Amino acid sequence: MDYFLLHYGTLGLTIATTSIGAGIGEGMAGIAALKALDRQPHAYSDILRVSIITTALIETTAVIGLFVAMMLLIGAPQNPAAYTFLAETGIAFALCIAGLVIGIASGFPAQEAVHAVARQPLMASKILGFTVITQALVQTPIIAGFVVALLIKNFALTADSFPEALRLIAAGLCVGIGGIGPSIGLARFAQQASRALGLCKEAYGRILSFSLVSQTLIETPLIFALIVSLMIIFVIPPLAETQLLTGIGTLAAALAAGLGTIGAGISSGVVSGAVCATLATDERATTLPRTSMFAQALIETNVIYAILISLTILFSCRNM
Amino acid sequence: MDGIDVGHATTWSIGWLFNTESDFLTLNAQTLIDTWIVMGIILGLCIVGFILLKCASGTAHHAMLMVADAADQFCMQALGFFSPKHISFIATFFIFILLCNLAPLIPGMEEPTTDLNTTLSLGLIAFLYTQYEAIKKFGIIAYIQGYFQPFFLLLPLNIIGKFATIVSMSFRLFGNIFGGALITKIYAGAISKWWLLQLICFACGLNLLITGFFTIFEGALQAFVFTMLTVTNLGLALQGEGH
Repeated sequence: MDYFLLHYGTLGLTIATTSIGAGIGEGMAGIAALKALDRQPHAYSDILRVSIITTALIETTAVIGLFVAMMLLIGAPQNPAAYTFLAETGIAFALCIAGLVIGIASGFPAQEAVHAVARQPLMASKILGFTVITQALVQTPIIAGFVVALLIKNFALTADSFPEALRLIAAGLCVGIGGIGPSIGLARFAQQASRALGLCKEAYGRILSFSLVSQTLIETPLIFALIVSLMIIFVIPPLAETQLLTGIGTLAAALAAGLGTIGAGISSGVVSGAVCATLATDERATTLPRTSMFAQALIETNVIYAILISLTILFSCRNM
Repeated sequence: MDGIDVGHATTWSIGWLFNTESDFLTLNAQTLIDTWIVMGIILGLCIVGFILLKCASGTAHHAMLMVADAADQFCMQALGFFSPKHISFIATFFIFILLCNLAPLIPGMEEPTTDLNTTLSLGLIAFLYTQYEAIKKFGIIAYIQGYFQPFFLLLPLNIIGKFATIVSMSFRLFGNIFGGALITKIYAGAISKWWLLQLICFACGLNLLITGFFTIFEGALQAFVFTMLTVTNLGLALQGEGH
């Protein structure tokens, strides 16, 4: 059987899905920039600058997809092991799922950022800085996926059994699925925060520190998924042909950790996003950030259940 | 990417002291040495700060006062009341984690926080301190009653919820710092093969960007978040009705 089909399939899927996501996101950002220009034609240069920089940040996913595709194309293994190409499909899982979601989702904060500039043209430089920070944090899931993809590429060279290929696919699947929820949550929060910045220009200091902490809390599920993924790569030793059960066990652990993050990521983003608008308009709401952080910490408890189950599966199937 | 070695740390075993061999008696040498270096740096900073405060003149004196004032303000806002003891505890946490996260800026050092043992013990210290203060404020009976709120069937959930905070706080710090360290390591390994590539990456500022984001920004942010959550938990434990 010609396994090169899998190699080029991985390559094509990676670049295709990440570019589709980034393309949709950029289109949304472009429409919003035109609407903002329609509303505030005098802020042409500011809106243009914010629009270009946010578009460049949305493009991160496509750039990473392109980089990985080039790496697979140029660095195709000369003498691959029996299951190298099957293991490489883990790269597609790590980058495609999260890449598509992030590309589309990061269009929303970009839209709100240009609208905020149109509402508050005098605050343009501060809004720009804020947007760059929040958008850079929105891209964290794809960076995590990228790291795991590089590791899979490295380990796939010696994948000579089917369970070993399953193990590497599981590592990619875990960080890929784990990126969906947090990236939607992060984008949703960044959208609400940018909108709040457009509502009230005095709120900059309050919202900046709040959003740094909140975004770290929102992306915690992703970090948990990344930990499980790295544990699958580094802690589980390379599997032999007879250890099929361990391979399936790693897949189960990856699904437990990955699917567990979806709900928590989204709801954590929605909760803290809802706080932003009130925080911007009401100066007396000083206890609100604390309550929001507490709520987010409670939401994260659910992820911890999933992670504990996942780690239990990993360690019990390790020597099976 | 050949230079990546994760999970193969140099270890010292102290099992010979007790005539046993156990994983619990094995120490991670790199973490231990780096932690001691960080603690030495903190001690040095304390001595310098003390001397600066003694000779009461000039900008340095005012800078020290501003730092102390910022810590006061931060804790006042998050806790809701003034307490010198809590402030010193929290400021210690922040400074220690910050310097741990910034450790790789010194050549040859690694972040002690890339070791799960460090972050787990930090989480445990924060948790035990919070529980101790809560017991001291409300008494042991009210504290135990807090576990049966709002009704007694929720006891297991309350206990899991308490311990989940330790896991979430320590895993968050560990995962973020470990991920950042891994990325910088992979990057350094990728460019180390050709000196021309190294020169280009150095000249166009990519090195600075990677270090600035993953070490300095991420490190400072995670130190801030860890401290912030500790203060928030402390404030909630001291305000609530016994739990």
